Amino acid sequence: MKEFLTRFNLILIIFSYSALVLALYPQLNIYIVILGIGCALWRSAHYLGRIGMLHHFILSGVAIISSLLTVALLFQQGVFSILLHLVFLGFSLKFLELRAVRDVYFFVNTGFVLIALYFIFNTSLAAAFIAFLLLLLLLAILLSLHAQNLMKKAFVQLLLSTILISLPLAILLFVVMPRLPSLWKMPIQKQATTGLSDNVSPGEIAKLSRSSALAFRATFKENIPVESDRYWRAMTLDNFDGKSWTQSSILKNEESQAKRGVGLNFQFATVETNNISDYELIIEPHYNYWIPVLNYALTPKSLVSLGDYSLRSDTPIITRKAFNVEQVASVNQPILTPVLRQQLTQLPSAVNSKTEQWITARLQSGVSKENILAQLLDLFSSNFTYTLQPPLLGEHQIDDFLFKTRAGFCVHYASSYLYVARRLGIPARMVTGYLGGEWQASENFFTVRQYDAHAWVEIWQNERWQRIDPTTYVAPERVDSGLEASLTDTNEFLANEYFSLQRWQSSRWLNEIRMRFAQIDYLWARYVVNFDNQKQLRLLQYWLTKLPWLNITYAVLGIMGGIFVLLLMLIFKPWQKLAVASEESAYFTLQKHFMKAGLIRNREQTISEYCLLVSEQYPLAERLLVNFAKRYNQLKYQPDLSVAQRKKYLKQLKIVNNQIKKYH
Amino acid sequence: MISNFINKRFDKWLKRRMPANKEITLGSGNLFIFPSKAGIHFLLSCFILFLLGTNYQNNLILFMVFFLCSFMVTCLLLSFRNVSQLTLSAIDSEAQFAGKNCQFRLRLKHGKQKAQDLFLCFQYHDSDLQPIWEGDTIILYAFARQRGYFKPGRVTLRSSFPFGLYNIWTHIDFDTEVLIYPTPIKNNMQPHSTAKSNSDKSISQTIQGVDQFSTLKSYQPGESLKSVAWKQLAQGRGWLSKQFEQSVSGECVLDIGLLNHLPLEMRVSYLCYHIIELEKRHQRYALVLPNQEIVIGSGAMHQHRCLKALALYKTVSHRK
Repeated sequence: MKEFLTRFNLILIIFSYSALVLALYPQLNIYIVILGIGCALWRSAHYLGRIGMLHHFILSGVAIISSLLTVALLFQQGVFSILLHLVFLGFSLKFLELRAVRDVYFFVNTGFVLIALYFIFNTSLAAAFIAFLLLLLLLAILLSLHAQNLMKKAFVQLLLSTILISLPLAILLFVVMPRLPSLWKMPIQKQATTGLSDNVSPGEIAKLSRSSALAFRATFKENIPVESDRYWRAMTLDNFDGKSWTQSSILKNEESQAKRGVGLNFQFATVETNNISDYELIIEPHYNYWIPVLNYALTPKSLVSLGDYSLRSDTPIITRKAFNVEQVASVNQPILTPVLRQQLTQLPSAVNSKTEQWITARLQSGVSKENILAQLLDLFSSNFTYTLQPPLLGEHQIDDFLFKTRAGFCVHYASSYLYVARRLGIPARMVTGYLGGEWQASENFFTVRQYDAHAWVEIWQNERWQRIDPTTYVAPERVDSGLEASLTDTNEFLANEYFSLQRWQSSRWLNEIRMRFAQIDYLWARYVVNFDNQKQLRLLQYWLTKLPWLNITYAVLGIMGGIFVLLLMLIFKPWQKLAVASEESAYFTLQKHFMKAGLIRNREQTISEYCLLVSEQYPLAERLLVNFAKRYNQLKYQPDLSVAQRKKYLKQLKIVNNQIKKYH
Repeated sequence: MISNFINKRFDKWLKRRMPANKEITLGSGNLFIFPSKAGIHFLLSCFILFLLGTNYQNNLILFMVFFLCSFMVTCLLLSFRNVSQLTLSAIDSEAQFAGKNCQFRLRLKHGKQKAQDLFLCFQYHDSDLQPIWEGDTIILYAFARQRGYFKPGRVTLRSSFPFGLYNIWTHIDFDTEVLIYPTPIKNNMQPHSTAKSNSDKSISQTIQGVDQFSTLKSYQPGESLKSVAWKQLAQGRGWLSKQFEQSVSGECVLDIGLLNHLPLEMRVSYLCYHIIELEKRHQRYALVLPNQEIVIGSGAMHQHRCLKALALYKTVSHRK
């Protein structure tokens, strides 16, 4: 087979293949990547003339076997993963079959689909930049097939200028094209959840505190919450087994019923309507259902509210998503049923005897329940230390923590406090979520990262839920200035992330760069990734405020139609009319008449000759035709004709044209 | 059959739209652009991406779709810009023989920038020889089957520059035609008949030539110095020049009437062979056809006249 690829083509193809593999690497199975690299090497060897082309049968065999293997290998990871790998497999196996230009097109088109799949996992600004480079490479392959004579400089110039020219229309389309709702349900990637989980043991939050990954961002227009109110509630946990806190079946049932739209309706209908402030949440994908909000949030579109006034999404959050949250000052408190009350005071049967003794001693000396809790908090503030690397706890966690190690972080404090409260018969629950966040004043938004994860307590007092954060009694800085400030040993902060910019906040210019980048990425997330129909409408309406009578749909159609008409005009230039002399048009009428009879004037024939030719066919019209030719020639070539004569002759031509109609 | 009908209609339309011309400058009046197969595949994958983007509600995928669509539009403009302003002109070709690939030359004049990735061929006539590019001249081949005037028809120009998403093409009528001599067929027949007027003359005639030395004659200024008899000059016999001659084996008349027992094409081909052979041997010959007689002579012009007469003998002339 003749090699149709040049060295440059093949290098570009292999290079863009490797780049795509690198970009998608976290999602790909290593065996399939190895297979793909093998295919690429095989094709290079073929290019160098070492190996011949594979037979069609072998090729189909390889394709079928490897796709079956792929399905078998990834069966457990779900439909999405299988789809992704099959597309990738087709992309890799195309190397074995690069026989003609057509195959390269297939390769490039599959590459486009892979870039789209890449966007499903990554929507950050950096990811978009990487995807742009990948797209550039794929388009360069196409160009290299057809511009083999171009110099390298002209090649790059052409490629970049084409892309640059295409951008304005692409942006216009992006802004004005209405977004359709999902046409059908697509399989989604099964992926380990990140961030908070519905099972909190002390190790859980400590692990999160080592990550500087973005959790979510919130934009406030006004009424920015003060530090002590920045408790972002994600979920409540009401079941304790002595080691970890989980959600009881009551809570889980309630959640699944709410998602199905049945059961209790937690719309908080009798809310006081004094909105404090509305804000927009942009949540990073965490492959879970919870939505962290401040107290109290009305139910935004596409979310549901639960009885503990937390919010849930119907589907896991797999891409960056934005929600508009309306905040209210207070809500009607729910009524505690006996079943609920029992669940909220539940404790494991395993006994923390030292704690029991401590409580009993207090109760016997006549201290009220409220005061016992207050004493516990006093104890925290006097004798305990706040650390992310606490000593290990033994079998009796609460005892060990309260009377032995006396060092820990939020979960330890919340857990112990809850234990004591429940032992005293006070309904109480653990709340997990985030505390604080970094305020970006330039764009009015909070950045909340994983290390802001926090756990605190809500207890039922005076017929309402009240927030208690035991951690603040140990480390008040945790609330005021974030995690780093609250740690006695700052090396604990982001212990494993040496390269994280957050770790180096002390360097002023690094911090500056970090803030700047965070700001751009925020704008990207807000205006590009989450540009939906609503924002589109608002933007277009803003543009069209001066023309309020204009319907946006008509405006868009009008603009498109206008561009189309303009293009048509520019191409066909209807204003440029061919100027034809009157005698010419008279001649054309004559010719048109005889053309039906098959008499066509050749290029070298004069009008007189043509008239003679016609009169051979129509002898009766000979006189007319000779006259016509004579007058025509006079009009055309006799310079000294007077205006009156011209008029007369033209009239004669027309008379001839009328009379020849008899001759068919 | 339907495609045949459509082609016919299209050719008819083309004839009105783009009449024949020796020179043509490409522009919006004579270029056709359609998405290529690759372009349709490209649009198809855009559609798949659109479904992905819509179903996953992913704005970045949608932006990519819009970008690729807009890219497609840009390619449309670029592919037009690539070939527009390109001027093509046909160079008249010399007569050639039937049964061979016939050469046609075109000259290209680029517009503001050099047109890339051009492909030229004849619309209906194919050849197993690829076009040859010699700078700005292109040699196209078309297989000539019959003697007579050969019109290879419209030249197709095609390009899929820059990204192969569009085919831009046109069929240009240069009104080229070339005279095709008959195919010479080697034969042992002796169609020579020595003309009566020459029969009594010596068979071996000579004319001035280059083969063998015959005489010396006095040198005329202006004659080639190579022919000066230097030996005689040195002997003091003055300026003389050497004269050479070559033998002429005889004059003959090629009469097609003598071959009447053969089919027409055979007769013509046989005579064609003899004309070429006689011309090679520098013999003088005449050609007699029923409707035409070419008097005796020799040389390239004479050969051309004879071959042309043969080529057009009993053919329906296309030339008007």
